[in-house]
Amino acid sequence: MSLLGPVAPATLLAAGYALLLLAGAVGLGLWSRAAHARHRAAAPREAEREAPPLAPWPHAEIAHFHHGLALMLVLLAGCIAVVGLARHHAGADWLVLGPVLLLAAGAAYWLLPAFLAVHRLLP
Amino acid sequence: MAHYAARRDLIVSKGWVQAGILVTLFGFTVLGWLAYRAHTAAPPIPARVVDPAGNVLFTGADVIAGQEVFLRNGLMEYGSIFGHGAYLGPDFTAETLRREALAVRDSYGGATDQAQARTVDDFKTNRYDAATGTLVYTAGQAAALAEVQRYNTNFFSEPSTLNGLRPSAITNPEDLRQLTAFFSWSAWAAAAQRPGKDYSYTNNWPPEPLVGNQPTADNLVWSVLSLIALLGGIGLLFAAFGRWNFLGWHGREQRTLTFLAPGEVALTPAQRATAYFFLAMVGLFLLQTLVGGASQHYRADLSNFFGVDLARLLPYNLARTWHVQLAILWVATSYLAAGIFLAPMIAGREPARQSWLAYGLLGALVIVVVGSLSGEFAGIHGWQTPLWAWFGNQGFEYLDLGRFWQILLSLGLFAWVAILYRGMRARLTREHHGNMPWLFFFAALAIPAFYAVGLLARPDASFTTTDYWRFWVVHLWVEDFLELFTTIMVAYIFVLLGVVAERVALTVIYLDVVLYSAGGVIGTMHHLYFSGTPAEHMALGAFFSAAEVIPLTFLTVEAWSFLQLGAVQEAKARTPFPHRWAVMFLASVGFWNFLGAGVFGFLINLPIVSYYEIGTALTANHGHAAMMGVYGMLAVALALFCLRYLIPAERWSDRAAKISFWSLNLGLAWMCFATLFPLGILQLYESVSHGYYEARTLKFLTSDFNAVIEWLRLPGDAVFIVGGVLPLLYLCWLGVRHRVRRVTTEEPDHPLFTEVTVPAGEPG
Repeated sequence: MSLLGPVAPATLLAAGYALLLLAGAVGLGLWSRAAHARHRAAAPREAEREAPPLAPWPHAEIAHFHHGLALMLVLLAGCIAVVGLARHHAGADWLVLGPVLLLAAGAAYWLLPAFLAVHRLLP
Repeated sequence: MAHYAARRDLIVSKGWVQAGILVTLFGFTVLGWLAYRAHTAAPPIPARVVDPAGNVLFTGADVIAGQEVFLRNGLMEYGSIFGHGAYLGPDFTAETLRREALAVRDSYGGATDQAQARTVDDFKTNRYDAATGTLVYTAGQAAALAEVQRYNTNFFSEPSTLNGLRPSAITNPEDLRQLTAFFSWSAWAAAAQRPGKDYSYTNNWPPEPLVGNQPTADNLVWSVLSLIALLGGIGLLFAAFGRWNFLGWHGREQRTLTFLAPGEVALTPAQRATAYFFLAMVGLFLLQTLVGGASQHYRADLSNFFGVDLARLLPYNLARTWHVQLAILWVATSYLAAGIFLAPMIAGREPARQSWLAYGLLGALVIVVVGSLSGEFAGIHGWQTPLWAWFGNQGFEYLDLGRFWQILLSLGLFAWVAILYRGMRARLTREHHGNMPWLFFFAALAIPAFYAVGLLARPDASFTTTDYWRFWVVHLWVEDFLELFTTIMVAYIFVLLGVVAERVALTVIYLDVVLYSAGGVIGTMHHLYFSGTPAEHMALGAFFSAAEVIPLTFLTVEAWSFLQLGAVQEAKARTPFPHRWAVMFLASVGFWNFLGAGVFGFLINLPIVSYYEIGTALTANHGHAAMMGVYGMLAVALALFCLRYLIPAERWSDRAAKISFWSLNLGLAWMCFATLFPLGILQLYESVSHGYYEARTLKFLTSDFNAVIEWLRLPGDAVFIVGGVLPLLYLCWLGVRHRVRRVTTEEPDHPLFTEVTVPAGEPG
């Protein structure tokens, strides 16, 4: 099978939808970061000296949830890419879905530390 | 203190009350006119249908009897008719139309232009004579009818569970003949032109090129106009918020509160009784998710449930019947309990023996639930008696329960209102009818009143008029009046917690009434674009239901303001805010209101989209995200609020509430994004590119590719059930096992908080 053989239509659908989910996840992550930063700036200063900066409840909790939801979308995108590759794994399919998997890994790498940091701080 | 009980004045401007009444009256006046039109312009049921030689093919009585065969066998929870029903089986209108049209075209010589033109003419020409009540089928149509009957006989008498129905579901030849008559009548109404119009009784639905069915001008024009209504409405909403900044939630920021810790709040006997309601609620919720998982499995693997032939015991239509009935029942149980819980806090006291009434109501509820679910089991398994519609399976989607149980449930809901009235009577006599206690009572009264309207849907009446009244329950009752009642309850909770001033809460309630009524009442008709109602139902339904997205956006903005209030109070209060997870569930209601009801709802709201989409996974996508996302999460929020006081502080588990919150939300999001949404888009694409009939066939649904998408849903379902429902079960069990023992019948002025006067100089 040649490396650049025809790509299965299912592969293209899977890649397109996975990218859409990744875009949604990154958007959610960026939005919750911006919201979190805004509320953190408004938090009382003395609180910052005692504990690491955390937006007041429930904004921190909501931001945390949005990060969790974004991570779920990344996981789903990854699952779709893996299932796509399990069904069609010619070279061309790898060429399309491989980068999607890398992007999903990158998005997870970007989202996970913020998620875990807030997770440790929340009561 | 005076000896007479002077009524407290209205605490908001009279204009709010007038606006609320006017907008509601307007909505119901239009809806009343549309009821008249639905009854007078429904497709006629001919007294007899004859072939060109005058031989009777079937009668009007056969059509109604066939509709009853359809309903009592639970086929509306398997496939659909006029697009309404379940989504595993075919749409029987579209399928019959396709089979009849193919047979007629073959009789004219097959796929030639001439045969095609004659086929269109056969189906489009309306040969019904109102004077004699006679409808004449062409020779081709008469022959096609016999062929469709042969097909139906094979399909419904299939001796295995191959199609997800019980083995040999319908074998009686007379039943099969009448069922075919009902399907054929619906296919006739879908293609024959309305007198004086150039489109069919169903506004040319379903799309079927073989009979010349394509979107009507009304369909396209009102789709565009409803988009404009949406854009204009959202613009107006934001303009109004900018212009009048008193709209929306504003906190009582000057005050510092001490929230009474759970355990310090003494409960009344009726409040303590609600612990058992919540245990019943979570039991029904668990059962709902389990049968939901089973019905989803049918879509992933039709005839094999992990090695078990499940359909022998729990065929798809029974699983789905229970799934949609329980969705209403568990959510309603939570709302009933929350109403009983709040009443003494609103009234300030509780009359003697109120708890006996509450336990009596719970007993009645258990009887209705067990009775109706058993009746549905018996009905769908074919243990039918002449009283099937009364005690068995009435069979309308969402009104599946037998009529006896439906009446009993309506009476039970009225009894609940009477219980609330009894509890609040002393307070009500001291209040203006436009103030919060009365609004709470009126909104509660609307719940049994609008549920009882569902009794107008009758298995032996024309499907069109029946469907009109059914949607008064499915839409008006669920989407408008339950939502209104919960808005008032949530507003009251925040007033009782001291977070919001009563005046602000009341303003928001009136604003909600105006916004809901403006769009939601007439918007009910967005379910009835293609059920045989005339074009005005589609026009007004599309236009006004687009305006429904506006209050949904407003509610999302509201939810954010709620959070702001929570944040302010958390920072100022001297005791921890006891309702972290109840408020988080309310926040998720805001999220799902926007995504599930707003975005996913509007996705299928335009008539031109609905034309190709109705009865596909995109409807299920909206149904799950809106029904569970909004009403389900609200029910859980209310349960957690009450349970927090029912469970002693040292027994409460924030961890269980947290796990449930995460699992329910992520599980639901996974269901939607892994399966329902992408599958729905693929199905819509298939419907537009190949045909609506094709998109609804088992062949398409169970194709390899789609089966993979269905299987992808499994992790979401598992997380939802195991991580979402089981921790709730644990909390509700704690509520029953360790109910707080402090009992009172008199409530203080502020039952849930005390106000702290802060000395000057001390940080608040």
